[in-house]
Amino acid sequence: MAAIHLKSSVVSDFLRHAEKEYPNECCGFIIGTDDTKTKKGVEYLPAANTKDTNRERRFLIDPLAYQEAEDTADERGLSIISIVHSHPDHPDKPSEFDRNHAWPGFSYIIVSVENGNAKNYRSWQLAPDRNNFNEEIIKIIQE
Amino acid sequence: MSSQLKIPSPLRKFTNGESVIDVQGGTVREVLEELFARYPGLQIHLLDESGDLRNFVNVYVNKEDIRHSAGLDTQVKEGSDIRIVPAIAGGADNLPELETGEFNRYSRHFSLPEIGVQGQRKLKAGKVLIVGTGGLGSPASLYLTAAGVGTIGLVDFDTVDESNLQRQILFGVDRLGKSKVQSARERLKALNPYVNVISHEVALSSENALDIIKDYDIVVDGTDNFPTRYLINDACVFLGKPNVYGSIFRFEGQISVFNYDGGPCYRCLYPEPPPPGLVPSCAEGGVLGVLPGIVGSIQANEAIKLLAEIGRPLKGRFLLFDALSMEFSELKLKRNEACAVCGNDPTITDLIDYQEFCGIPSEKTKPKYGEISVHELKEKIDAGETVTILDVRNPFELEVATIPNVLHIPMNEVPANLDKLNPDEEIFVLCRTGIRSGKICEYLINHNFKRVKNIRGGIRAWSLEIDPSVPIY
Repeated sequence: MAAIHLKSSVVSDFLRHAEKEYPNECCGFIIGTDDTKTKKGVEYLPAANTKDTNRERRFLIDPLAYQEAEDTADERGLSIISIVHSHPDHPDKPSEFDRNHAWPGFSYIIVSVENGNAKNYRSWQLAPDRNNFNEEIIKIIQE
Repeated sequence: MSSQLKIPSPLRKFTNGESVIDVQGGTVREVLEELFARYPGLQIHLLDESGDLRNFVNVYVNKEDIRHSAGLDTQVKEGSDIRIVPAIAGGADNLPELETGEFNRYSRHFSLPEIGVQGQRKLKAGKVLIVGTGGLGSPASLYLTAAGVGTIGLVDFDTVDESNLQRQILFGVDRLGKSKVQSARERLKALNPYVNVISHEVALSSENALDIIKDYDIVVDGTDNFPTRYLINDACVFLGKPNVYGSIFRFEGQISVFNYDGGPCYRCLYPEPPPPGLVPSCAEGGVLGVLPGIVGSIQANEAIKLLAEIGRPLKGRFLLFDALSMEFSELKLKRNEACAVCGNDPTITDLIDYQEFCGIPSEKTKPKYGEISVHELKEKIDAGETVTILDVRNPFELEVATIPNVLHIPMNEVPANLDKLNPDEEIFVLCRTGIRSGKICEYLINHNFKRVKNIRGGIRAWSLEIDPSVPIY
């Protein structure tokens, strides 16, 4: 199984964001390094969920927000390595909808939030044929 | 000419880690062709089979989405900043799991890549309200139930009549006189016990429509009258629900999907109903029994496509079917920006009195003519009174059932034959059920006939209450 290394502050930041946005889905970026062998996330950048309706079940990130996050990463010699979103009162597994909208190369981290409390989170990568997701190991590294 | 193209993080593995590439092309299309020539692995991620941008790919030129300008033909000027930007979206599924016993039942659906297990779960999550369990509602509800739509609501207030069995295939002779909704529910549960069938044994009205429809995803209109058709349409617009419309008459059917994804509603096509009486009902005009089977099945087909999110829905298209010539034809429909309910500046924002809107006399506006029951009529005949009974049915109907000593003038020939009637005499008007005769009473009163009465319930009531030897049809 592939792995993604995350600084502990990254994890605590996205878990807090997921709880804050409950019952809506939260979304955000993790920026860091990807040297093809190891992915390392150093900072979580929260994004606004710009869906007009059904934010409990859907999220959408404004393409301009994506560009800003990518510029932020590029200025620091980093790149966007992961997209985080929450599934309020649903498991931390990617949905069919997630798969249809996924990009190759990103780690998709899904946080399951139950009754406002973040319960679990897992990371997934789209298979090259787009037919399914493969789970990745998340390793937490200290600052 | 030279400008810069920025590659998004997830695609940089295809560009050897390069994040910014110098390009020469004068349009976005030329820039992308240049890119694919250098990095062939990129094309399948950005373009679909027909060469259009994939829907989760955005291209921005100087912070402007090219979809808002000329698309791939958008001009690129010297020094432009071009970016490929991933559309980032997702979200949780709320789909129910299939039960073990359902897998074999739906196995033919699983073999279709367009449906599969995931599509079947979408059908199971689906909630469809079928208004009317008659000719259209019968095949629609049977196929939707068989297909595994999770929740099916049925609206009807009627009971099963023998004359329904010619086309309403939900019912058999054992159901005569029984509630349509209850009979339908038992039939559907027997067909597929995994489906939740909800009974609404009421007439859909302005008072209850929003409350009933709000819990469903899709409405299938299987009604046979204009007031309910407009009521369903307006309620669907107010609640944002698609309306899978079907109607039948004699040998012709019409089908469309209204109020779906920016498409037109029924009122965009017909802002106002025809004058009452112009379009006969199926009871009056007749209908080929198999016709609603075809039209109702097409409605089921469209509802399934909407739920499974597959294919091309019958949105903005009005499908016409002629059973005699066996021809389908299609009209293109557009949303009417001036539509009173779904237009840009709607004038109707709440449900109205649809009987009144369709010009049908409500209880408030009493008819100008009187009524007589078959018993009162029989007493007059038995007492030896001279009574004039004007039978306005079609000639073939008299061959099926008749009562003695009637004056027969078919409904549409009455205006040309007023001289055969005495305006000062008492005239009792007869048809099959009292609807057509009521219209003729109205017509005669408006032409200075003073003593016209409608025979309540028509010859049908005569058969049931006076003379059982007269056949019911």
